[in-house]
Amino acid sequence: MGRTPQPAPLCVSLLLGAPLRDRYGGRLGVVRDLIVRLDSGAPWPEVTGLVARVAGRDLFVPYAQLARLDTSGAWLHEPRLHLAPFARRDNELLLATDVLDRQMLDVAGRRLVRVDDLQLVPVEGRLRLAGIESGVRPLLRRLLPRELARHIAPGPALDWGEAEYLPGPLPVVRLQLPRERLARLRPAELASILARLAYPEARAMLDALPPQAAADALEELAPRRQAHLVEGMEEGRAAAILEAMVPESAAELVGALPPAQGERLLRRLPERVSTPLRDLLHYAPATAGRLMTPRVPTVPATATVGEALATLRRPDAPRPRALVFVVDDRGRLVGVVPLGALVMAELQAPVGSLIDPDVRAVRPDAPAARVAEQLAACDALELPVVDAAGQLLGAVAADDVLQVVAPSPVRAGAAKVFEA
Amino acid sequence: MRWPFPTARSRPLGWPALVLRRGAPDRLWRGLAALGPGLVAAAAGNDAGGIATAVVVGATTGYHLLWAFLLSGLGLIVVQEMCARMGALTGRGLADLIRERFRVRWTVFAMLLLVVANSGATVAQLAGIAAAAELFGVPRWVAVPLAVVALAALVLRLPYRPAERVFLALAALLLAYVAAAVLARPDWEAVGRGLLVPALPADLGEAALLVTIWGSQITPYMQFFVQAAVVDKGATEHELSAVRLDTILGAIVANVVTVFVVIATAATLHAAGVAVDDAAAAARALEPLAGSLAAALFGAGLLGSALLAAGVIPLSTAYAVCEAFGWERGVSHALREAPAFYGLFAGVLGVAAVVVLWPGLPLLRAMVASQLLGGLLLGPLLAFILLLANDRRLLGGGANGPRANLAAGATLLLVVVLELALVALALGSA
Repeated sequence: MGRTPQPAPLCVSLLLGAPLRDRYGGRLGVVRDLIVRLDSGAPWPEVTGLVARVAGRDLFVPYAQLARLDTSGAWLHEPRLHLAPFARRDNELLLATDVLDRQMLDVAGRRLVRVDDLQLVPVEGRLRLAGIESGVRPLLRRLLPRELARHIAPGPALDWGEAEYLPGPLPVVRLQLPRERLARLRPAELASILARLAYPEARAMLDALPPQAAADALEELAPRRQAHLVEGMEEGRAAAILEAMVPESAAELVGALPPAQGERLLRRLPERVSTPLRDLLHYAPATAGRLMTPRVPTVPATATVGEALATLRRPDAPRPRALVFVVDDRGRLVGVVPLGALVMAELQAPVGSLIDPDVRAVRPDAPAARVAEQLAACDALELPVVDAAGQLLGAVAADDVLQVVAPSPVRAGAAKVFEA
Repeated sequence: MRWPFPTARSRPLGWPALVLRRGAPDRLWRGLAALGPGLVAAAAGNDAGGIATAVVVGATTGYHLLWAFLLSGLGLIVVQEMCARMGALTGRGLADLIRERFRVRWTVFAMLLLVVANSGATVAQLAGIAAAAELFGVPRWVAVPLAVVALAALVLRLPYRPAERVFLALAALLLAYVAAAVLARPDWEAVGRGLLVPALPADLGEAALLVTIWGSQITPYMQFFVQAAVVDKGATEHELSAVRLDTILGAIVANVVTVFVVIATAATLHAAGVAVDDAAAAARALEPLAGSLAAALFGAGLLGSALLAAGVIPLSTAYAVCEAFGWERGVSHALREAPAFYGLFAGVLGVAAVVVLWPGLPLLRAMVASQLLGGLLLGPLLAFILLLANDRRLLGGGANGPRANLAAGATLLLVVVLELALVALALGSA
């Protein structure tokens, strides 16, 4: 606003409690809150007005009616005040009520920050919410009497556009929060954020993500935390997330849920998803059977390299990770061929000649630690899992085993306080 | 090529699959998963200060203040339930909620109260450690610094869980008081009258004892601890009934033990007219049970309960303050990342150690005095908790109902009346 030359940012804490004045400077009331609109699409929301306490009532004062807004008070432009009572509206945030003193998510820093003060900046005639201040300086500004507090200059602030607002468990109004910043994060980063939030907020954030992104992030969390987040979810959505997960992760999640809820979710899934999941759930947690993926690339023992490659390239074929599994006509494992060997070989060579004799299969009830030892012993990235009859059940990959034997801090649930 | 397949048929049946088939009820599942925080919090709450208070009350007044333990125990249940419920419904700690609801100034006030009360409580624990050590012939200037270093290492850097079990097991030795109380053949009729008939305090000393009793039963730090523990465990609204059961059970166990300590000391020390001014005298209440081993039994139990609480109190103080102001916190952070957190932890523990090592400090009296301090600071903290538990914006349908409010309001009123009465009496006698 050209009428309010304010080069430095304005601190919200100094505006709250400031007098509402008529154009001659007479006191009409007190500024109680400031209102910003979220849906403008700009990273910095615009201040649309303020809530003022006048003669015992909360009135709405549009920003357009103000001639000046600074620490000396809110000066009305018009000779008289329009008495519009204040009411809450969707997509509006009250800075004192909804934002100040709450925690917000610093997306880049992946940590929670306490909003100790907020900074407003005039941009092209509009006042916009630009920054979040936290630390000793804003705390002092709010603790000291106004006369002293106004001498504490605005300090370094976190850009509002880099932070994520977290509505409480029971939001008063509907808010359309832009979540693109979150969708751009890698699953592990998202997971470390989810691990830090109070779970009602974590759940709200999870609900805002597309099912695939939610599934990827959940897989990085400790199974108990995953279960807690999914438990309160609407079941259709929970099933959609489950469907987006790889089978071994989905099995882990269902295994951590209360049994009856796990069963209800399984029933909601299409059969092609739920059947392999149920098969995995037959095995105890942290065994090769539970950790394996049941969909593995297989080629017949009689094939040539050329035929094998053609089989693998079919659109519906499972994508090979490190190994291609050679099976006989009854589905029994004959051996494994490293993907590299297959790619480098002559097209006419039989796949049987490429089998790596060092890679040995594990049984589905083998505990994760044993699988890890064997992975190291075979120098392999994955191992086939076979039953007693030699039937190929699936393959267990090194990264899935690692998540059990050497979990990341987030997976291990290390955000604990008292369980050092 | 041949694979080395074993021939026996394996049974690929994980237990979840079994449970899935039988369709066990969800409630049982959740109930078992949620047990724990309340019991540990209550055990920690039955700390050195609480034991000392019970011993002194029993020895000096006999049975007639027993009602105060019963009533404050009920108050403890009400308050702990509110905090556990808030933790399960919001997933946040008490300090976090205080900050959001009451803003900066009130938060600074609440945190000041908490830091003072918790420093006092830490003094009580270190005094308990010193007293126990002296029972075993170890001087306090050896035991206290050793305990402080060991606790800091345990809580901050080593796996705390196994140590916690050892402390709990030691603290469980205090259950011996139940047997000792029965063996001492107390006057059960007097016990019953003392439990059920509230007797007004006769003088300033007894009024102070009443505030001390409330302060020892409803310790300020326990409320922060139980809520943080519920949040930490990740209990959700689905596990609410189990969380409640856990807290209530914990509070009852703690209260019953305390009542029996009072009965045991009243039946022995008070009946014999023994003045209790140190731990050795306090241990004599266990003589009907343990004979010459009484001192060792009391010392080990006191040591366990003191160690259990001495680690938890500075930690939860640091955590609560950092939570309120949004500073980095938690033992998973490096010292450089969370200087305020580690500074507060070390500060509380260090100040308490200096106080306890003050030459000639009467240990038992220091333990009781810290509970009086806690009792005096309890009123405002209870007011914060009560207001929060009534906040429908925060808890929705899980906010206090009329019954919870009646019970909690009565507790708060009683605490405030006792505090004011004590202040008035103290001013009047000055």
